[in-house]
Amino acid sequence: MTHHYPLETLELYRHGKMSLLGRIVCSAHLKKCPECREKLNELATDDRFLDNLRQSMRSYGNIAGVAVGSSKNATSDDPADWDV
Amino acid sequence: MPYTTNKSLLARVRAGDEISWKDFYTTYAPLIREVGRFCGVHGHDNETLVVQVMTDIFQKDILARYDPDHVPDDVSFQHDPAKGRFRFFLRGIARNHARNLYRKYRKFDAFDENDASPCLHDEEWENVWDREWRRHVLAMAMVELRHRVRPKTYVAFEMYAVKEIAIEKVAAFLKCSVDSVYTAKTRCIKALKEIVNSLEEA
Ligand SMILES: [Zn+2]
Repeated sequence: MTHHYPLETLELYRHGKMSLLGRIVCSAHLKKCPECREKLNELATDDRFLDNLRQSMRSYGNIAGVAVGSSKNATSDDPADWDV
Repeated sequence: MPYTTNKSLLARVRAGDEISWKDFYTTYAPLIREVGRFCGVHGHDNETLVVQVMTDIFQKDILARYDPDHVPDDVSFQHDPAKGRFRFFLRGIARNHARNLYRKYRKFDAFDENDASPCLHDEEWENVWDREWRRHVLAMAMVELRHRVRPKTYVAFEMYAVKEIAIEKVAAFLKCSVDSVYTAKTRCIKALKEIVNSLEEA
């Protein structure tokens, strides 16, 4: 049976969070596996979806009870500032 | 959050539920304001636009009877499917009022083809409306998502994918693995797309 990468592992790969060896192995797999390449494309499509969602939250976040300011909360290390 | 129900307002409109002035105002005023701004209807006129659209949708004489800030909850709106899909129904009403207010502001009555305000041009108006409508629908889909997935999944998604907090911080805050945050993201996007499709269908 062919081993394929789960989405979570492909996320680590594309965000550069894999070990060097893991990255080399994954890269080699992707070259010969259209199925995993397709999953990577899906993740890129999801990125665009999220761009739209964040734009939506900036204009209409109050409706959903999600406050998204112009300055990213990600810059704060204090969970109290994260406003979830 | 404006709702106690797990259904977004659009889903309730579609289901033929009676919608109160307050719920409608909370949900659709931001959309009308935003579209108005793109058309050059600003400041006081922008708020007038919201009130005019609202009174058109509810009852034209409502302002004669109530202060717009204190309209009783039993004053409600129920969309009549015979008037077409709600998004187009609202689009038509919003455009009429935006155009009238914009022309009043610009102090001209005749059509000026060099004026670029989207409310004066069919295609531009539809582009602006459709873009803002889609964003607005996404916001309502988030309302439903909150009730469709586990609270921890929702929070992971909101922190990481919407607020763009570093994944390691999210995982540490929620005491879970980075993989779990990615899983939450994938799961929520899938659910959101389903919700958006169902909201856009009717
Ligand atoms: Zn594969």
